[in-house]
Amino acid sequence: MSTDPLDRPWRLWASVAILSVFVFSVLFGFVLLPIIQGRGAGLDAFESICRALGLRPGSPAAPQPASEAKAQPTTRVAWSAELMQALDRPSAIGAQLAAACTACHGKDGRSVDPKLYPDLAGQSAVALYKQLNDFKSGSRLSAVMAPLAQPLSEEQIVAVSAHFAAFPVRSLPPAQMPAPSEAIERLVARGDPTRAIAACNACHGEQSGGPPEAPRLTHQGAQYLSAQLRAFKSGERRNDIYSRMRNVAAVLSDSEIEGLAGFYSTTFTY
Amino acid sequence: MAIGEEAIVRSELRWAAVSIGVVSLIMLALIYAGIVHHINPPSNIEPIDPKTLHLSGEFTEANLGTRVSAEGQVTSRIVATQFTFQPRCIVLPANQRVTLRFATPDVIHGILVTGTNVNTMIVPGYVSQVHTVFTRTGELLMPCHEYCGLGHSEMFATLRVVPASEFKPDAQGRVSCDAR
Amino acid sequence: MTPEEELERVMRDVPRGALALAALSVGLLLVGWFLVYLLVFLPRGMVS
Repeated sequence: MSTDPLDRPWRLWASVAILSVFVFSVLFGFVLLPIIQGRGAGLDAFESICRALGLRPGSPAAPQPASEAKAQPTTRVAWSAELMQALDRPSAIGAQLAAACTACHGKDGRSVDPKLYPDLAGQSAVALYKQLNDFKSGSRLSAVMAPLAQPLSEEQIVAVSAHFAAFPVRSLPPAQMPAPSEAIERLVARGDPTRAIAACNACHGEQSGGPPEAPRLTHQGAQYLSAQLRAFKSGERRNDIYSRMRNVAAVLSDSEIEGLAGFYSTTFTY
Repeated sequence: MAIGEEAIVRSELRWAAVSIGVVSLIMLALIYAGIVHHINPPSNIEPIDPKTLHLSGEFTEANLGTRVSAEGQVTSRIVATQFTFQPRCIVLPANQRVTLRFATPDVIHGILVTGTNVNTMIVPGYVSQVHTVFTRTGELLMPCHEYCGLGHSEMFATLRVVPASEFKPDAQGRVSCDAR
Repeated sequence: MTPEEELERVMRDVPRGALALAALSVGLLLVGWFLVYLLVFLPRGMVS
């Protein structure tokens, strides 16, 4: 194919035009505009350009607020990949330590009185680890659990959590179970957008992809579950990270709390 | 044929001029917004560890919400998490420059404030920051606009924009919805 | 009229119509963009 003599200058000028637009944009966006805007915000030229380039935090058009911390955290727990892996491995130390738990939580993690004590069998190890840690640090208050959790080391908490998580859940006869009301089922599966209540399933459902520490709620006593929801609602229990549970419980009515507790104590599939 | 090669080139050149004119006009409008109204895309590169966000530093739970600094700078710190904003109701003064700082400990979220240009993504590992001035008072809805999981559609917060006379910080410079 | 002559007649008029259509659509797009810019974007306030 022969080159048309008409095309050659055209291509040259097009390249020059594109290149000059690019150079102008870089100069204007990263140098000129930041300097003009930074002057209004009392910033020097160097700082403004650094901010525009993303080398320093902040906008070139506004003063940057000081990041300040004046409060204590609600829980001391932080997740890491190593911790998650350790919680997957039951160990002999866990079995030894678990002897101290059997008086209430039962042999094999099945509660002796589900009204008061939760079942630990089949509970997520991540959830157990977080609660034990919070009992130890005082983030979650309990006269019974605090003295038991305080002497435990980090490794012991991991071991005992992994130990109970490995047991199979309690099997209850599906007889005499009341059918859950439609409103409660909707709250569990769909939530309530008008009150900003996310579906319970969004976090507590199996493989939901929500926060890792969300516990499994099925196979627990209704009284235990409703007591926890009421404690979240009143603010008496406040070890949920960033008020995830308190924000939900605060807008639940008392009858919804009873209904949800009943639903989870009699439903095994979620 | 009626149209010769010269005529085609001439019409192409004319169209190129028109396109350049249109692009330049729009660029000028954007430059005007940037210089006169200080409208920038809110870009802020400020790393923060999402795993320990709730433990130390400025995004600790009790540190969140609106606070007025000693210099009078109004800053609101908000955490977006699965599936709630903390705090869920934020008080801000009207007709005054305010700074919104967002962070997340879990997945990508995003926010927009209805009726304003405030719109940003909230990415784990970074602080998202927007400076703005609210001109209208009232309750503005701030939904999560980046799919974050099964509870995404129930995730929203409210911005309560009040006149400067009703914006009363307490002794620590804090203002919250419950206090009013 | 031979087909060649007819084609030539059509080709003489087509560019003017196409030009009008193209100018109208580009103009409308530009007007639409500026309407949104002036009536929606600027009144929504500054962000930076």
